[in-house]
Amino acid sequence: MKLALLKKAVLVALACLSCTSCICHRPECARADELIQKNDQLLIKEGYTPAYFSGSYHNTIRHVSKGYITKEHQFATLPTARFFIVEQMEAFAKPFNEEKALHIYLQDYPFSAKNISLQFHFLDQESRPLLYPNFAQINSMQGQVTYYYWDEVTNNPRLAFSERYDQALNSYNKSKLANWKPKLKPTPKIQQ
Amino acid sequence: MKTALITALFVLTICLTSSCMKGKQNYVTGKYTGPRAEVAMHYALEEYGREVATAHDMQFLIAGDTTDDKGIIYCLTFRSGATMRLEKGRLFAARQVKDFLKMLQTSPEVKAFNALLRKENPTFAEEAQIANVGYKIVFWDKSTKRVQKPYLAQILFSNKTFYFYRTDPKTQKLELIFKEAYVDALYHLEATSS
Repeated sequence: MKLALLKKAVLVALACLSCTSCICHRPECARADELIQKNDQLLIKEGYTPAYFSGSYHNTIRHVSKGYITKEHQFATLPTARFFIVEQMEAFAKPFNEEKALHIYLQDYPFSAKNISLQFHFLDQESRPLLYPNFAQINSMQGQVTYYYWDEVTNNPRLAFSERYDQALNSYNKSKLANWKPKLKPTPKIQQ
Repeated sequence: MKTALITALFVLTICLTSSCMKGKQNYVTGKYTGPRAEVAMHYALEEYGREVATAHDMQFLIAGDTTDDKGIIYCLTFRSGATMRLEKGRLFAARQVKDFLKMLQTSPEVKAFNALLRKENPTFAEEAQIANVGYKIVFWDKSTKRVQKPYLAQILFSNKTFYFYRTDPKTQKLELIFKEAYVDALYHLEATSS
């Protein structure tokens, strides 16, 4: 118990230290942080917990990377997972592209999948990664979307499928045109 | 127990932070972050950048690398609302970078920073080199909309090359329309001036 607390303390200390070295003191960085926090608030309401953040604000806003965990959602098919990640990416980029005052500070305008990394981890009620057929992790990084199952043998994510973001976006747009929207399955109850 | 751990955590954070700062002697944080000599250089570049901005009716944005080239050490970025065609942009950019290099090679702050770099890497040149120079002018109109065709939307200098961009009217993304090596741009500038 004490060891666990101490481990946590060291981890938080290291996190604090890493943050002190990457703080940007300019107003455009502060505004970008506000936009990210707004998005976090929306996701928290939907049952996602922000897990980590890193941003590359090296003179211009180049890249934002966020990770979330959730125990309240699960995706077992590629179309639903794809629909989810594309909606998240588009919702994340939208305020950056709508905020006119930020445009000149964005390394790339329009801000797009190239500039955003999102990572979602799906856990059961006991904080273990969800098992097949559900995806345990869905990432969109550097324009590539990757879906992972959890491998119980190696205790690591196992690649399920990967596609370019623009391909995922095309499929998303097609399904939107067809008025298709995924239905979320309820979270499985804890078996005691 | 919890209070003790929180105190330990706080002390650990302070210790780690201060040891890091000691490692990077005279480390300064703020608008520009880094060793004191580097920050002083950035403020000197900013002062120069502000003069240039006033002289050419531009807005100075930042002194620091905004390119995607890893070799850039000295870089200025401006915003302009001007409508500039490629030919005018080529001459304007060549003149600006030429003057900027001249400033870099005479600035005592830049010399002090180069001396600091030479401590870590003795092969680093004493005098600022064009390979390490970056320069960017982004063209946005008053309503913060990218300047549209046929005018330039961005001029970028990095990797000893000028890159000229226009706005793609559909996506509003930048599209490269012309690039020119620094040496060629200087020839072109001289030929046009004479």
